[in-house]
Amino acid sequence: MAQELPLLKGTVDMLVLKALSWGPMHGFGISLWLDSQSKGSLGLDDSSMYQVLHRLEERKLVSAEWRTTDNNRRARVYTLTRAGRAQLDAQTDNWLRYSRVVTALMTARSGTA
Amino acid sequence: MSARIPRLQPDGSADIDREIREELATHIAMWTEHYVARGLSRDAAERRALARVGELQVTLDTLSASARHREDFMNRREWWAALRADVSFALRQMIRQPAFTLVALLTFALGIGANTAMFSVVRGVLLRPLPYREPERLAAIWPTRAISNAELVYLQHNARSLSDVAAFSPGWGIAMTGAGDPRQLAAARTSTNFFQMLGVQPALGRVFAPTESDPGNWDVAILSHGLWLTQFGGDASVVGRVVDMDGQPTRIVGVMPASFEAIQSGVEAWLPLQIDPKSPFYTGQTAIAVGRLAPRATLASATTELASFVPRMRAAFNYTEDYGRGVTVVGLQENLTGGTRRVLLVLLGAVAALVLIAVANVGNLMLAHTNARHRELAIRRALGASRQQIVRQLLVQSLLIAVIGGLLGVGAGVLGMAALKVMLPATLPMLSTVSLDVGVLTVCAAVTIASGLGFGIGPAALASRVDPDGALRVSAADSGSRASLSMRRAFVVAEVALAVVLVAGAGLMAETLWRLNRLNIGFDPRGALTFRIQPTSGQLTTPQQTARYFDELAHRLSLIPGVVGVGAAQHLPLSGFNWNGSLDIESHPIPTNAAHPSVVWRSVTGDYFGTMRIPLLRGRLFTANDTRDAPAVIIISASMAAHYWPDRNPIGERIRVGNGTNKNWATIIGVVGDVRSAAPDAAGVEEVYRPNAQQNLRFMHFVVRTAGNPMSVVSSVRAVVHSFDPTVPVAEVQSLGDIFATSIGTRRTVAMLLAAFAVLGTLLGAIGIYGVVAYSVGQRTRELGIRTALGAVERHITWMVVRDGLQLSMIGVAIGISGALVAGRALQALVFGVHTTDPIVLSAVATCAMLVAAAASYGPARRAARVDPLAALRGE
Repeated sequence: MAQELPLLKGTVDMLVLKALSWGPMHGFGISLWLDSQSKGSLGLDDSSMYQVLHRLEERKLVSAEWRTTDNNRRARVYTLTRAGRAQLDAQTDNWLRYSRVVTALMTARSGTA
Repeated sequence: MSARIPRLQPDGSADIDREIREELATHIAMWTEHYVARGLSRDAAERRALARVGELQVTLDTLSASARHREDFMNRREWWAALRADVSFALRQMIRQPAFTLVALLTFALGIGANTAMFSVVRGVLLRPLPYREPERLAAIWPTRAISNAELVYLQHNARSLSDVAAFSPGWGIAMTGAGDPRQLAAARTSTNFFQMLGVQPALGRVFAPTESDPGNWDVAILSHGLWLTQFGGDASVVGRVVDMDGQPTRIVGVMPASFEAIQSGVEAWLPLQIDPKSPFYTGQTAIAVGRLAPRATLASATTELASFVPRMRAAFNYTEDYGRGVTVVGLQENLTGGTRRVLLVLLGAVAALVLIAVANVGNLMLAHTNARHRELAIRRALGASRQQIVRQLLVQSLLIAVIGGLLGVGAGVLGMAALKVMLPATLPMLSTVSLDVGVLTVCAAVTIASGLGFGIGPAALASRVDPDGALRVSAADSGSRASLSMRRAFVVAEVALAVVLVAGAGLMAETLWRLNRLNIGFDPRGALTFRIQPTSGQLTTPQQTARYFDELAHRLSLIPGVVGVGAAQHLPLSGFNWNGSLDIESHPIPTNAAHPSVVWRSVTGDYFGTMRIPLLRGRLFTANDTRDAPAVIIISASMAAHYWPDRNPIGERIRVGNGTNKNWATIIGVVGDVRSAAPDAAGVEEVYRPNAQQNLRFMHFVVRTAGNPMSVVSSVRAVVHSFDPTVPVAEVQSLGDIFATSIGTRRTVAMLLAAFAVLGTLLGAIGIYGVVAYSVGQRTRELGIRTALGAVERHITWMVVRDGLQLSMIGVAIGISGALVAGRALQALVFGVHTTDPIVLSAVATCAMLVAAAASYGPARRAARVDPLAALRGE
């Protein structure tokens, strides 16, 4: 396991929204996707992830409903709402621009323009 | 399979805990399976899955809390969203039913507006403490009579129970020159301590100094804020300026603030009392005494102390035996408002009745409204709306109407307040300072919201009992609940009863006015102009010159084209001022120290009797020969002649009237008709008249009778007066009719307001009757159709429906008439020439009410008669 990265404030919301952009998922599915995509390097425990889901639901960025899984388990399934998708697009855009600028600055070779 | 997660109520925390537990269990189970599939033993897989969620209990608690926060937040948001939806739905409903909305809003606005305005006045005039320091310690001393300067000084030196004794002498007309046009001021004279005693400060300058009532010092004046603005342009340097007041150079020492008013409203200037122990007027009683109770003293102890002074003051000032009767000390506020209390309470009662009618009408409308929507509500129930949702919807609607109506009511209150200030007699103490009261507004707003809720809850309770199946199966018209109809009938009965009480009150006052206007008051108030003339010029140095001036002025005025008669007296009848004097009759000597009878005396000039149209019954009138040097002559009124000389001719008898005859015996030369000079309803005032040539008063109120409109000669009158002396103001210009109107002003105000309330109440009652009858016609459409099909004549059906309305109002009228019999007692002191239980007035009122009820029922009745039997029987 790689060393855990400290999480930047607000990025978890964005990551959870991204996970749900592939389709409705339960909590396990979201955490599995985050784990596998980051190769376990995100310092996000599952309790925090559920809290983030509650917050997103409160803001109507995701909706939730109980479904029965193939294994006959009851699971709460989360779906991205229209507002959630718009929020994700906006945050993705922001993040990419921000990280590009910061990356360029942090990798600069010269002290003058 | 899926199910919408139900929104949890705030008390559903157990459900939240269960859900969190279940979700977390699934989560752990899925991860365990994931790890097993990756090759871990079940044990190891379970441990790793558990490790992902941290300390289990802590996680459960954390997630429960965050889920609860989510639920609370979403519930609140949903509640607001639902409320917004309810409000916008209610607004759409209001717009879709403009008639209902308009009537309901107007009813609310009217009820609240009338109530707020009237109650603000009552509170401002009757209930608000006087705006002085410790107003509850202020007292009116011996309020039934005026006191003299001698008594004032005595009390100031001797009274222990009063820390301060002051005097206020109202009604001084002072001619002011040297500041703009010559002007007659409404002035008052006060003792120098008057302002300190009240605890008020001037806005500019100072109040009177203690020595400014002394001879030589008293030519100072304090201006009212209004006079300072209009006559001196609000110039702060006015203090110290000298103007002429009644010909005396007078120094302005101060200006009172705009809000100041004391004892008499509309005073423009205050001057000091002129206290000169050597003057013959020193013991003349001219001022109202007020005082401040000393610490620990009470009104009772002050009364006792005052009574103990009576024998000493009687002896010291040579007053008559009956001096000291009715000596008392009462609270100043009670004394000032006592006279207006009854009028205001009558009006307040009338407004309360109007408000009750309005409230009953709103209730009625709301019930009718809910019933009309019965079927709609039943459909919404059937489609899954909860009882709670429907109740809330109805409550929001009624509250919305109440709130908008309340806001309109505030506006109506502001307008009503302005109207009341114009209509109520200006002499009402503190009326000018009354404004819309915030406390009153708050109470009215609370009442509005409460009544809105109340009338929402009633219909809502009825509507929420709707059984969807039952309501949908029967036709809309039949589904109205019986309970609601009887409630509405009760409302209508109450409305009619209250309206009848109002109309009865208005009827009694109308009858009173009618009688007062037709009353023979002894003179003809129509077609005459009056004004006050008070020459102050230095040219008129002797009393004879002044008397001649008035004679010549009367003569010159009579030459104005259109003028048919000119006369004058120091005060005109019904003007509020009657000068009294104690009577001596030469042939009936009164024992020393016995009480003298008192008569009104008037000093007249010109053709006073002819101009006033007071008939000469016996003897002769004054002539130009009744001069100062001729024998003293006097004319008496018919009731005085009848009283003292019941079976004898009084001509030639000699009498003496206080300072009305300068202590000289005067010979009776004539008897004239009685004049109701004190009040239109006070008959038999005993009066004497003297020629001003023998009396030499320095001011006169002129009466000029004209062929046409009396106001059309005003400019000619001014020109004539100014041709004598341009510095003499023509003051108090009004028609004689206005003086008469003012004398019945309070009654006219009460009559007008009661009439307005009665019209509004009747209108609202008619709307109520119309609503109920129309509704029951709608309910009976099927029955009426059957009757028509079976051959009932249109006329019979019309009558059947009208009879329904009449029966309803008959109960209301019966209750209302009994109510009017009781409520009429409050009018006892205001009515004249009619008893408050007058059967003619009351039966006229009852007939009117029944006619209005019949008219209100006639519309629905016509519609009932035109019911198409086939359509009615086919159902909807």
